[in-house]
This record gives sequence, structure tokens and C-alpha cells, in this order.
Amino acid sequence: MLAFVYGQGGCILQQQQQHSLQTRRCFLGNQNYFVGKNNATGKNTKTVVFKRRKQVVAVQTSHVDSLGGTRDQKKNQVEFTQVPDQRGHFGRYGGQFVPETLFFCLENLTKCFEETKDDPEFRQELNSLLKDFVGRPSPLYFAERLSSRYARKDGTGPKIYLKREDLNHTGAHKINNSLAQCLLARKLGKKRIIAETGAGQHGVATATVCARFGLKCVVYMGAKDMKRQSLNVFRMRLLGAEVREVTAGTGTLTNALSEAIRDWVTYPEETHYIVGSVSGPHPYPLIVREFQSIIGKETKQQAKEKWGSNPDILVACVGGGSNAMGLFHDFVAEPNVRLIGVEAAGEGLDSQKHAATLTCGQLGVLHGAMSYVIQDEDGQIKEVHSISAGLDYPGVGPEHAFLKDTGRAEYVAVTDEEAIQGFKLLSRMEGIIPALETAHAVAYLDKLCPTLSGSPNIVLCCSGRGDKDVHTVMEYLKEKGDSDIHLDDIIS
Amino acid sequence: MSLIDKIFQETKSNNKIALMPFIMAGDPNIETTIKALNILDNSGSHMIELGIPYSDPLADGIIIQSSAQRALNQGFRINHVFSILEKINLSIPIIIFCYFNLILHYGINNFIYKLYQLNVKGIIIPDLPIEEADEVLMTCKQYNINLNMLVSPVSTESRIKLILEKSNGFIYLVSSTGVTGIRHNFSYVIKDKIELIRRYSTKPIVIGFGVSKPSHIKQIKAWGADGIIIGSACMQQISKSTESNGLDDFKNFINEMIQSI
Repeated sequence: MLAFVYGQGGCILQQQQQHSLQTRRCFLGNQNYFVGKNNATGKNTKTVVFKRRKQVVAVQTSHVDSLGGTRDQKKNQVEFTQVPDQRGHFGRYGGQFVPETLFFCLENLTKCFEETKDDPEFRQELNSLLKDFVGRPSPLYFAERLSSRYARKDGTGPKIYLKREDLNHTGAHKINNSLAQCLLARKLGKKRIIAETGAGQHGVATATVCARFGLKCVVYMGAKDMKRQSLNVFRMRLLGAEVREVTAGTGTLTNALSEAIRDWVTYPEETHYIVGSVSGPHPYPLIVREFQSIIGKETKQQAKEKWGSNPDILVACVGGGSNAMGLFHDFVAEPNVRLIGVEAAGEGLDSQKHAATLTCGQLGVLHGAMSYVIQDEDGQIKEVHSISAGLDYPGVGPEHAFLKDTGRAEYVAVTDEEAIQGFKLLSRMEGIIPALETAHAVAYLDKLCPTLSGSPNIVLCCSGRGDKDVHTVMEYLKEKGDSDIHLDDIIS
Repeated sequence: MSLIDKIFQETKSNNKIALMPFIMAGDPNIETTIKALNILDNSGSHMIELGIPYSDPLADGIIIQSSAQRALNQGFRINHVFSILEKINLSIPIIIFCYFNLILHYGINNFIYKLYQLNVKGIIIPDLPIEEADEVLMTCKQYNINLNMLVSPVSTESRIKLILEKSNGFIYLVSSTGVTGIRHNFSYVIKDKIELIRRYSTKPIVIGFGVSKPSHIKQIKAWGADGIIIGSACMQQISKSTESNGLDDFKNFINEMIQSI
């Protein structure tokens, strides 16, 4: 079943899609469905878009016998959680674009995941480790002072809650996924684990669980990242992992990912590759989302306890997109919850030095998945830049591409400079030093809150702690000068 | 029967194995590529694989990775491949080796049509699996270009059957797990895989990844393959070349390989 998805209010086919998708007749307008013919398969397709209060909630595409004619709208809502399909498609995105050698691995992994994820014994072991080893559940903390920054004169104003993934063991949300995938790898009988890492948090989390379970661990990290996150390199080695430097290209996350895939292609039988984010070939976006969704599940429960309903707005930083997907997933089918992903604008969206994939990228295939990619006129993958290693990636998880195209989630970008301000803001106003990645989301609050009315409850995913970033921030401030944030600026 | 099928049939009936060298376009520069293509044309090789440099070649080892990087550092563009193809006039068919994102970005239809206009006979896309290949296959069939699919020694029987069913070119059986790069020897698994494939199809089977010695060719020929692709070893020979000795190393290497077919 193919699903071609378009944005709200009309056909927003990008130039690139025009090239590769053949002629298609489509119209949105007042109707909530459109029909077209896929010249590649020769089949007619009808795509129905379900909206509630102007927000796209779900899309469903099916083959139809003929074009045209009126059809009754389906009143019942299609489960958004039905994506991805069997081949890992989220609409046009996702899939498995990897060399043939990896397919038997991906098939075994998919089978193992499907069989294991609802197995009560697996769940029990995982939950017990999440509780006693990782320290879950992570608190949902009311950031009182930060909220007061956005309070209006009449006393109303957004209420900011922080989902404290930084309090997990190893200091970030990454361990939720590494731990669960390690259990899967054990089930598959793999003795060797490989991982890629940008900021080092996923590398540390993987090295941690490998130490816990006695598995051999190899982490690929870009040379540039190894320098700017040297604390994490040391931690990984201390935990017994081998950290392999990747000097190709820019020496960042994207090169580490490519090298990890090459390793996996070379030793597919004995190795399990723990992908750190919701990117990569199917079933990884599904698996990582599933294991990170504990963030959102807990948040739902905690929100109910604290104020009796769902949050109004969710904000999270997006590199590959795992913490955002983890927070968003349980709320995607709840149309009243606004989802906002914050990417890295680096030195500015107009410069050539940013990593705002969803804002500035185009349709492309990277590291096994069809998604948005920052690429040049030929389709060569471009060098990107962000001060934060974890967001310094020219791709993004395919599900985020899908959420963007269907209008279900919004994606914005924040510069290095703004992120540094966010870093300082949270430190000084709440006594929490966030990771630079998280600081991007914090920085966006300054832009978001003045646009809001009433007192919405905002949950921001505090995806990691910032100890690893102090040197980077120190150097940045030394170079650019330290302009202090003025705490008496109340935005009204 | 396509031209490529005819070539395989002819070599088989002459009790030979088809030699299909691979070179990366643009490394070290376009002139050298054109020279190398002409050398191959006159060497007795049966087909040429021409690679398009890509920034993230997942299936390639260090030799071909660096080769692609050198070409890109010189400012190599897709259009340069097309101008190379326009300039040369070879007697043997060319097959393009290209990663999917470049084709997607150019536009699948536009790209395949361009290859058709330039008389390219086939294409290999290492990161395009059979499940995602519908649009490419349809377009290739329209323009009579072969989409040659990869099969690996760890591919399951059901996948092999699916690939055999849908593809319209030869089968590129990679010699082992791993990426491209020179290997010392090859496993009997290849022989078994060749026999397995033959049970389901008469499509020609070509072996690649790691071939670098005449003894390799002899062994693979004995196992029953129809063709051999030599990639990293070729690029290694080309990178040895200097202004003075031209491409003599490369020429001699190819001649040595030709003796063993």
C-alpha cells in the first residue's frame, strides 16, 4: 500500500518530488481527499486526509478502481500509529535503502522485534532494568522560575515543565534505546555490538549496557566530535568500549554512521548494530521509537497526575529525532497537542553552515532511509554545522519527515548563538545545565511563548545534561565574548 | 536478446569468462578516465563499469571511497559523467554504477532517459533494494536498459527468488560480506550460491568485490560464473600512474587479467 502525502491546504510537492514522481493529478481544496495515478505502478490511488480542527490527524491511501466520482468520507479515524508499514514506510519516507548483504540482518531483527516487544518476560526484564539501572521514571518537573520569565502582568502565562531525561543513568535519553536493543541483541545471539555516536551520549549508553551485559562494544565517532566531546570518549573507553576514530568527510556523526554501516556490512552475522536515533533503515526508526516512547508514556501519566489532562505543547530538539519521537509518539494521535521540533540553525539558515534538515533539506536517501537530506545540486550529501555534535547531522528520521509533511508537527531552527543563550538561561534560572542539544529547545521558548495566549502547559524534553559541553561553551564564549543574559527582561 | 546477453553467451561458448573492469569517473581527472576507458576498449575486456563519485558510498571500502573523494574534491559533477560518455565512442557496452540518491535527485525518469540517450546499456545501484526498485525497473524496461541487482552470499533463498523474478539484468553476486576492496581468497560459498541461483534462473551471474589476481579469475571461472568485475584493483593501478609512465601499469594489469579468462 503506497501512501503519498501532501501538506495541508494544497499540493506542496517539492521540485525534486516532481522529477521523480510521475504525473499525478491531485487536489485538496475543500475536499479532504485527493486521487491520482501512479505511473510507476499504473494504479489509481486515493489518499484521504483526516483533520480535526484544521489539524491533520491521519492519512490513508488505498488503491481504487477508478478516478473521480464522489466518495463518502470515512468518519472513523485511521490510527496514526499504523505507520510504518511492513517495509518501513511512513508515507513516502523510510524504507530500507541498504546494500543487499544487510537484508538478512534486517529481516531477522524485524522478526525478533515483533516477537519480543510484547513478550511479558522481555517487558518485565526491561522495566526492571529501566527502574533499577536507569533510574526511571524520570521526573516531570515544573520549571517555576523559567515559567515566570514568560508570565504576563495579569498572572497568566505558559507553564513550562521539563521532562528530566538528563537525570537518567549516563545523563541522557539514549540509554532507553541502548538498553532495550542490547536485550534484543542478546536474544539474537549476537556477541558484538557496534554503534555510531555524535555527541557521545549514545556511545556512552551503549558502552554502559555492553559493560553491564558483557558484550564486546565498538563505537564509531567522528574525529571532530571526539575532540569536542572528549569527556565522553574517555567515559566510553573507561567502560571498556573501543572507540574508532572516523576521519572521512567532516569527521562528524554522518561519517561515523556511514562507517558503522560498512562495519555491519562486513560482519553481519555476529554483529548487532545499535542505531542511536530514529534514522536508518527499517526496522530501526520503528524500534528506536518504540523504546524511546517511554518518555511520552510517562509524560502522559505524569501530566494527568499533575494537572489532569494532556500537555498542550511538546517541544524537543531534533538531530536524528529520537528524543522528540519518544516524547511525541503517544501524543501524535491526540490532535489537541501541538508538537514542535527544534533543529540546529548553526550560523544561520542563510549561511552554508547549519543543520536544519527539515527546514532547508530536500527529499533524499541517506543511511538507508528516504527522508529529508541536506544535499547539493547533484545530490551529494553536504557538510553541515552545528555547535552541538548531536544535532550536527544532514539527515533526519523519516517519521519526522512524515509528521512535517502531514502538518502534524512543526519544525523550527535555532542558531548556535541562541542555543548558547538557552544553555545559560536554564542554568541560571533553574540550576539545570542542559546539553547543548537540549539548549536549542530551551532557546526556542523565548520565541514561542510570546506568541501564546492563556496558560498552556508546555512539556520540554530535557534530553541530556551539559557536563560534556562545558569546554565547547567556554571556548565559544571566549571567542565571541560573554554577553550576559539580562534576567530582568520579562517578556510580556 | 540484449547486447549484454549476447556477449555473455558468446564468451561462454568460447569457454571464457567475461571481464568487466570498473573505474571511477573523474579520478584522478577526467582526461585519465577517458584514456583508461579507451585502453579498456582495446584490451579485450567485454564490458566496462563506470562509477559515479558519491559522498557517502556505503558499499565501498577505502580504495573506492578515496577514489570518489578525490574526484569530488576536484569539483566533479554528474554532468561530467555525461560529457565523458558523449566524448567517447567505445565498441564495448558501458554499465553505470551509481548510488540511489544521485539518481533520485536528478529525477529517475530524467536520469534513465539520459543514460539511454548516451547509449548506456545497464545500471547498478548498490543501495536500491528490489522492494524499492519498482519505479526504476519500470523506467529501465521502458528504455531497454538493464537494472542489474546485487545478491550477497548471505541472502536468503526467498530473497534471491524475488530478485531473480523482478530484475531484468544480470545478477551481481558479491563475493563475500563486506564492502569493496581487495581480498586474498574467496570462499566456496560462492560456488554454492551460483548453483542455487542457476536452479531458478538462466540469468548471467557476475562476481565482484575483491578480485585482483589471475588465480582469482581462474577459480571463479571454474565455479561457473559468467563474468568478473574488477574494481578496487583497477583503481589502485590507475592511482599508481604518473605523468611519465602514463597508464602503463594499468594497461599491463588488464592484459594480465585478460590472459586468465
